[in-house]
This record gives sequence, structure tokens and C-alpha cells, in this order.
Amino acid sequence: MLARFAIAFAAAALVLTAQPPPFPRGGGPRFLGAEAGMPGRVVKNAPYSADMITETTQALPDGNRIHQTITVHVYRDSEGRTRTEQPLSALGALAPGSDLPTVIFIHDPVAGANYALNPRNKTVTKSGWRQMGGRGGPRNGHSETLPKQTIEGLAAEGTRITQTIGAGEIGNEKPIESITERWYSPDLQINLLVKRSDPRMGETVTRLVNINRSEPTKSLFEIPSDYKQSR
Amino acid sequence: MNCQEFWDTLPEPGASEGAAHLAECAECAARMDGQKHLASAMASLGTEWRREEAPGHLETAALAAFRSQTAFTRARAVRRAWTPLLAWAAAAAFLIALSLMLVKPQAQPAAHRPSRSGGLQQAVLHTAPLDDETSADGFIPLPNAQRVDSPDTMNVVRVELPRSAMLALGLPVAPDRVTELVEADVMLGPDGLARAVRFVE
Repeated sequence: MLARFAIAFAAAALVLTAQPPPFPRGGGPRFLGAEAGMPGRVVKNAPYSADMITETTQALPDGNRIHQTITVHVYRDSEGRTRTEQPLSALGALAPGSDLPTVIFIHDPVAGANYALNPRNKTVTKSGWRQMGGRGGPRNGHSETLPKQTIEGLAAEGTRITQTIGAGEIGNEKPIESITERWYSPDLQINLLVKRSDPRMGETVTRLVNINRSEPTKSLFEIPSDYKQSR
Repeated sequence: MNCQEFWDTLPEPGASEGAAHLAECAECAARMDGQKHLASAMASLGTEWRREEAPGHLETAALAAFRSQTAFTRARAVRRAWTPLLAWAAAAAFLIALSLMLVKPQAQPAAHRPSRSGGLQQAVLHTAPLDDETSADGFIPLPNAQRVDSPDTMNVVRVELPRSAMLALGLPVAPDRVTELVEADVMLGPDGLARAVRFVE
């Protein structure tokens, strides 16, 4: 009887040790999957392609500075489909020095689906279409209209929103002002330039460059035939 | 021989010593006669009732009671035979459970642990605005990240990150586990910048 229990116990121990540990030790950041979110708004009859460049600058108290730049390629066709080629190097402090792939997100309101493509292993994740609405609430702050200007050859309407955190609200000795400046193109119905400055977070500038208003290639919004559904 | 000695020794009828005392003591002789009469009467009564039998239902009830008592005793005997086996089984189960606890490392405490089965779909459907606090679906706004605005398109990627990434969010990480990897969903804004993160169980 004792021998039988010893065998059963040894078998159980073997099964347990054969399982991989829940958290592998060591190694760098690794890409596991992606899923396209819902587009905030579908814009038709205003096709374009462009590079969206975002620069963040953060000044540290010791005089050091952290500066990062990320470029996202964006496309939109006349039907409102969009394609975003997103390098994951933008994960920044979460995954410093990582070799994560570029992920492509396609939002297709015509097909009623969203896709996330991983060109590295040629997989695609499809998710259903649900138009999001009513998200978020009004932002508090003082808004002012800026004189129109031309950015990247397009007319742009400017708005500056100033939000103030009063002295003492979060333990601050003096008021904290964060300023957001948006330059919006009525033709393309997108922001051409957005500047944000906050003494707590530094400065972030996102601008659209290399804007091409011709119809992007149709294949950009299609799933290549050699891609496999990841799940 | 006195009276006490006579009754303590209960002499056989006809014994010389006992007969001598009975001859001397009228009281003991009278008691002895009474006893002889009682014994004689009981013997004759036994002879008369020898052919008498107990009623049938009484015998049936007595047999049933006897059998139930026997069965109870047999069940107890069977239980007694299984007791060592059950004890060994319980000991083995305890050892296996103990080994399970020792082999599996303790989970690192994390502030938010949605299940893997929830998937990313759940995440992208709940890209609610994030203020300074954690959202209901477990996303923690990243320090120095821009707020998630309503008209923005938010995409989510799932990555495996070093636990040291949790330190950037002020979450506790044991020093000897900072190099381990943990799964996380990262919410990306339309500008490609990470806005919020949640750690996956």
C-alpha cells in the first residue's frame, strides 16, 4: 500500500515539475497581441495620408531632460477607413530599449470590423465594430480661439484651453497651469498640430507632416492573404 | 461452630459439622428447613413448566434484535478495517497539496489583475476616459501621459514587460523579482503614445 502511494506521489511531482513556471525569469519585453479599438468618429470624403510625429520633452529637477520622438504613419480613404502603423517603441519607460514590432491597426466602417496586424509574424486579430459615442465629459478650463493660420498647406483653426489647478488643491503651493493648443483642419477634420504643456509632465507636440490628400491605395485597408487569424 | 460460621461455610446437608450445629441451634435448623422447602418447590415448578414455550412473536422480535446487533458489529468491523487505508490516503493528499504550494511561487501582489480570458476585446470596448484614478477595467493612467479624450481612437496591445515597469507606476515589486516578466495591456492613443496600462493575471 505504501509503495502505491509513493508511486502516485512521485507521478504527481513529475507532472508538477513538468509544467512551465507561471512567470519566466529574465528576458526583455515581448509582444503578445493587439486589438484595434473603436474609432472615435468616422470621416468620409476626406482622404489623406501623412506622418504623425509626436515629440515629448520632460525636464527633470536636476537639469536633465528626457526627449522622445515617435512617428506614426496614418492613412484614411474616402469611405472613412483608416490605417495606423504604430511602432511600439512608444511604450517608453514601460519597455525601454525593447525590440517590439510595429503594429498596424485598420478600422473599416464599411466592413464593420477592426483589425490589428502584426507584420512580424503575419497574424491579424479581428474585432467587431461598435461605434463609440458619448465617451468622456467636458473639460474644465478656459478656452480661447486663436487667429487662423496655415499649417502644412491647410487652413487651420486654433483653440487654446488653459486648465488651472488652484493653489493647495493637490498640495501645490502655487497654481498649476496646463495649456493645450489645438490646430484643427476643417477640410480633413483632424488636428494638424497639438501642443500640450504641463509643468508636471513637460511638453508634448504632435504634428502632421508629409500630408498627401490623394486617395490611398486600396490594398492598405485590406488584410493580406498570407496573414493568419491569430484567434 | 457458631451460627455465622455455619452459614459462611454453607455445609453440605448431612455433613457432620453442620449437622452438629443444626442439632444445637433451633433457629438455624428452622432456616435450613425453609431453604430445603424452597429448593424443592423451585425444582417441582421447573418440572411443571418444562413444556411451556415463549409466544412466536416474542421469538421473532428477539431474533431480529439479535441480527441487527450482529450487523452493527460487522459494519464496525469493516470500518475498522478501512481506517488505516483512509488515514494513508489523507496523508498522501496532504503531501500533494503541500508540494503544490511549495512548487508554485507566490503570486506577486498587483493592483489590478483582469483575467487572460477577458482578452483585449474587453479592453478596447471600455476605453473610458481616464482621469487621475484607475478606471473600472483596471487601466492605470501612465505618469506624464495625456488624458484619454472622448473622440480619440484607442488601441490596445498586450505585451510582456519586466516587473520593473510596475515600479514606474508606483506598484510594489519585490527586489528579487524585478527581472521577471508580467503581462500587461497597454492603451495607445492616436498619436501612438502609451496612455494607460493594466496588468493581466
